[in-house]
Order: sequence, then structure tokens, then C-alpha cells
Amino acid sequence: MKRNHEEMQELLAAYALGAVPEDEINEVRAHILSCEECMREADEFAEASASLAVAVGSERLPAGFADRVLELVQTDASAATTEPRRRRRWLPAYALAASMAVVVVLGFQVFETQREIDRQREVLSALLHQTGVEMRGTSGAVARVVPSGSGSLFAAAGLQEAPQGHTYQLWLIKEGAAPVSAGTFDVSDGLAVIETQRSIAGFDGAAVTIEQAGGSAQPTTDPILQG
Amino acid sequence: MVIGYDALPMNREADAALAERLLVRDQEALRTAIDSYGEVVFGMARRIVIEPSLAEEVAQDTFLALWRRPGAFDAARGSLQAFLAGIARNKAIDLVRREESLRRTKESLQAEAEKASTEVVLNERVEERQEILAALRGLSAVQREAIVLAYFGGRTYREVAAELEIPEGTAKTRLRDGLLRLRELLSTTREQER
Repeated sequence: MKRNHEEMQELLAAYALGAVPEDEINEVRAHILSCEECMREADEFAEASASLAVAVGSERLPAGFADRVLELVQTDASAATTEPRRRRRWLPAYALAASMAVVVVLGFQVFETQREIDRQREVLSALLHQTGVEMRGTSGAVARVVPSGSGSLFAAAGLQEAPQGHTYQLWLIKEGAAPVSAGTFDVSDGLAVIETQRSIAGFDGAAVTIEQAGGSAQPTTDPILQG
Repeated sequence: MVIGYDALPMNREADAALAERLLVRDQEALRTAIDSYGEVVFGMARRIVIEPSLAEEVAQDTFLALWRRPGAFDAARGSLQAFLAGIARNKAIDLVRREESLRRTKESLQAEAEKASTEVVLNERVEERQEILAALRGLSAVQREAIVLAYFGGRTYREVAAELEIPEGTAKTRLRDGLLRLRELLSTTREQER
């Protein structure tokens, strides 16, 4: 059941403190992404919560600590790849909004691989994009298809993982014509992103259905997201 | 808890410069970060995880995370000290959430919070700490208790409610009012500084 704005707003402080239980967290994230007021408030709470980190006192490190960390660094495989500078793939305004949203929505996770970071940024940038087709679902999930190059980018937040043996499928819809598949996708950590060669130009809307693994030629279930 | 010795005065610009050096894989920069903030990071880990060897692991993981993703630190959003302590907090909380026996009790968390709020430390790097301790003192006892349990105890608001034997709505309200008040107190201090 989708809960209302006030209920979500009550949870923003708990969210910033990392005190929202697992089973509610996707719903809160999806709401923050779709509500400007809550995004702003969550950002302010996140700042206050972050300052708590320095409230604890220092404690003398065990002897040889720095040497042990530097030894680990020598053998650390993931450190071997030089990290590229932060990429600015999006228009500056979106880049700024997206980086704020990364902090607000994903605040307590530290993503350690470039791929994970890029994926989060793509999802959030797309969701914050002001163009394209916005889709909403019954469980508070939100998604958006936006133009990207000659194709489109689809991103969703707040979806559960598809049932075993099933997948999500994105459809582009034009009135009076059969829906056109724009690809299948999976969800992890409540987030999903796909790039598709299909342009949304000429379509009136989009929808997401759950289909058998591999996808279907035409939708076989009712949309769980539509817009 | 041992506090405030050999602290290097490091401001935000120095943090940004250190992050730049980490981005180009300068291992000496990592050593500098450990020398400057290792004790803060270990202090945070010890505050949450009782077992010292596990706290050391948390501290190691924190600096490995910094090494792997120095770009995650944004000097515009806060100090490196706060950033690293925040990572240590999250890693420590992940650990105690997986293994409940590692958790500190409500009593031990509160005792630490009381002790911390009376400590007076004089050196440049801990100014940021004095500020937040003063702000914490400005909360009501019930707000402070809820926030300490959630942030340092890794409790969800439901667990805060159960442990304090209050309704869940009340727990949410205490966290919210407490954090609002904290924000207000911190912004007043920061404005005075300007």
C-alpha cells in the first residue's frame, strides 16, 4: 500500500540516521526521489546526521596499524585500476542535482566500484530529469524514460526484485498501436537502469510489466508501472 | 577514552589537497590520512563494536574504502574527519547488525554519550567535535537518548521504540525533533563563527 506524504516525511529523520528498517527503505527512497520537499528536507537531515560522526573521541590505534593498511593496499586488486575523475556525463544542472540525490538517497552506502557509482548516477540523473515519460506504480515505485543519445535511458527506483523465473519488461506505448518492447531488466537494491536503442519520440507513454524470463513479444500481465 | 593528542591542524583545504593526492594513488597521502584521522576512525569503531580486534578491522576497511574511492569524499559537503568517521560508523553498524552479540547495550551507549558530553578538549582539530557535543547537550534527554541509540547503537526506529518501551510514532517524533533541534543548534554556532 502506498503511504502518504506525511507518513514518509515523518520517516526522513530516521532515514538520515540510518534507522529505517530494511523493509521500508525502498519506499522512503522512492518517495524522496519523487518529492522535492522531502528531498530538500532529507538533505538537511543528512547533513545534521553526518555531523554526529565527529562526536566520538579519538582512541589510540593499535601499533603498526598504518603499516598494515598500506600492506593491504599493495595487494588490493581493486586499487590497481586507476580511478577516473568524476565523470560529468550529464548536463551540469542535472549533475549537481544528481550528486545531491546520491548523498541523500544512498547516503549510508559507500560504493566502492566505479561501475556501481556510475549506475547509481545514471538512475538518479534519469529520475531527476524533467523531460521524458514518468511512470508510477502502486507500491510507491517511480520510473522515468528519458531521451539519451539516439535512444533512451530508463531508470526506476522502489521496485521489488522480479519473482523467480521472471523479469521486468519495458514497453513504449502509442495510442492505437501495439506496445513496443524496449527491453527487459532486473532490479537490485530497488534500483534498475537500462539503455535502449529505441527512441521515445513518437510514443505517448510507457509501461512496465512482469514477464517470463527472456521477455515476451507482447505484454501478458497488467502493468505495475505506467505513465 | 584517550583524546586529543598530537593532533595535526588540518583544515578543509588540506583535506581537499589530500583527496587530490589519493586520486592519483599516492600511498603517502593514505599514510597522512591515517596519521591524521586514524584515531578518530578507531574511536568511532570502538564506540560501536565492543571487540577491539573487530574494531581494528572496521578501521582498516574504512581506510581501504578511502583508498578505493577517494572521489566519494566531497570537501564541499564536510570535513574528511567527518567523512571517515561516517564510513567507520556505517561499517561498524553493518557488523553489529549482522551479529547482535557485538552490539553495545543501551546502558553502555548512554554512559559513553554522557561521558563524551562532559569532556573538554583543547586543540584545533577537535573544534568540530566540541560543536557537535555542545549541540547534543542542547537536546532534551529523551531526544538525545533516541538519537544515540539510532546513530551509535545501530537501532532502527522500531528497535528504539521497543527498547525504550515507547510507541513507534513517539520514537519517530523524538528522532525527528531531536535532529531538527540539532540542525538548528549547529547552524546557530556556525553563523556565530562567521
